[in-house]
Amino acid sequence: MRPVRVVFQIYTRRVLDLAEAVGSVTVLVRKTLYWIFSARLDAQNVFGQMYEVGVKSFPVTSLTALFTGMVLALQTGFSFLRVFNEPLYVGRVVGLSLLKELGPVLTGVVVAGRVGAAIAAEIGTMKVTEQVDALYTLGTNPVRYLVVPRFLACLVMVPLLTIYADVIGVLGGYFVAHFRLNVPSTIYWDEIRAIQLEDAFHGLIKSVAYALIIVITSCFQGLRTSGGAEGVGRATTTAVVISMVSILVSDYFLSAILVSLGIG
Amino acid sequence: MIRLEGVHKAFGPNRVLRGLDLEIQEGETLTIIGGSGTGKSVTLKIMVGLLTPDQGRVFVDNEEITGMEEDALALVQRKFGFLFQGGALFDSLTVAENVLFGVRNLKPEELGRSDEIVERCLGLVGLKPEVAALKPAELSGGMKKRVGLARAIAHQPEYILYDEPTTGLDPIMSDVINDLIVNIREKLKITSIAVTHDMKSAYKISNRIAMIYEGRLAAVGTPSEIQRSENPVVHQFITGSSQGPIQMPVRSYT
Ligand SMILES: Nc1ncnc2c1ncn2[C@@H]1O[C@H](COP(=O)(O)OP(=O)(O)OP(=O)(O)O)[C@@H](O)[C@H]1O
Ligand SMILES: [Mg+2]
Repeated sequence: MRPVRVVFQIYTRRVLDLAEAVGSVTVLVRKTLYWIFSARLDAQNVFGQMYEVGVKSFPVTSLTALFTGMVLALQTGFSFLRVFNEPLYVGRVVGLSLLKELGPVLTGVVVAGRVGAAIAAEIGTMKVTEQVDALYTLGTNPVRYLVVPRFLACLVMVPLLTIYADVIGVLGGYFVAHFRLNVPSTIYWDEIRAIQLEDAFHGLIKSVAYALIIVITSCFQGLRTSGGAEGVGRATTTAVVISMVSILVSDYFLSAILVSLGIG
Repeated sequence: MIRLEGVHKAFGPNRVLRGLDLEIQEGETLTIIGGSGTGKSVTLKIMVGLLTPDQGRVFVDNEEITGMEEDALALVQRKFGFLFQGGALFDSLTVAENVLFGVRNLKPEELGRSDEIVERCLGLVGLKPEVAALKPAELSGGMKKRVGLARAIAHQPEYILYDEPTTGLDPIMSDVINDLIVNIREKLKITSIAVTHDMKSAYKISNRIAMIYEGRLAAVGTPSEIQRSENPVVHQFITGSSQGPIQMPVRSYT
């Protein structure tokens, strides 16, 4: 009887905590939307964040996408080579996998690690050193000053980074297909060109969802930080882990929904 | 005028304020004294609505701020300048941008003379104009405190709250800051509340001194009334003796 009750209590606590977190996230999103539409945007701040989120993620996104495209081509090519004695469909497999899945997911994961951690750590540090309190007494609102620019920056830059990753990945696939597997250029590019617009769109919609997951999770974790440097570390780890897991889990459901809607 | 009525505030099991009543009159400087961890900083934050009391009411200019909507509260918070105990400088911004932060949001029409404002406010706290271009990480502890003070007064608020304005400063600079606080009250008629452990500074800057003990107001009065107080708690505190009714939970060294 007793252990059952303890387990029950632990679970009700967890459920209540989760419900509370969902409620607080909803409030944060509502406030963010309110400040986006009701106050003049601080363009300088928004562009600054776009630079942080987008431009500074270029090198790591490039590397990830390039090698992902290359390994996709390599694996597909050799698998088909073994079965059909010919490296078939390399362009199609590389293109579709990147555009629909790996482009958005890997970009999301990379941005969650780089940008999500930075956002949670920066806002968390500001929280524990009373800088967030100082914002209130100096005539601005932390959601307006800290969350809105990061929100807009992620919303714009993550899909752009995804498109960029798709392009780099397809190029990487081309190098391996052409120089390693001797697939003729025209065949590879014809297969890429044959990819439907919906397939690209499928990936792009996902990348918007991932941007939202990353920016909301990390701003939320940052703003609720307490307990000094240790708390900042905890907030950062939590933000990254929750963002990455949410991206991977939601990927399945988003794919299922988008496919059932006929998008890709 | 700021008034706290029966304010309670606890953090988990730690019951910090237990029925605090305090009124700050227009134009005066009231200093809050009390042992470390008695809730002085918490009291200041409750006055500006940065923390909400668990019980009790807070009034600013006869408007109750407890339970106020965020927008309305933001309008009240505009009236305050706040020097945080740790400075709370924005570390991604330079000193000049820090000082101008409140002006930019609250008095944008004055931004035309921004260089002048920065130079003047830094001058008031004894800092050279060269400091303006530095980042907070490049400042010493005392300099951070003074930049925090410059930032709190730059937008000319109606109320200024100073959380330990002279901690971490050398004795001469402490006295310069004391003079500044007195001048701000006398010339600008700004209502101020200061928290300090420095009794010399408390006597110099205050019209009244209030002591918090065990979550309540132990005594309040003019500096000379406090100095003559019969209350053993107050007496022990202002004379800084380890012997008396206030017992610190420390082990003796053997
Ligand atoms: N955000 C918070 N979360 C949890 N506990 C807090 C928080 N802020 C303050 N406390 C607790 O409230 C008590 C009073 O803190 P406060 O900072 O007001 O002390 P203080 O009187 O300003 O002390 P000092 O003179 O050392 O600055 C402390 O015991 C502290 O642990
Ligand atoms: Mg304090």
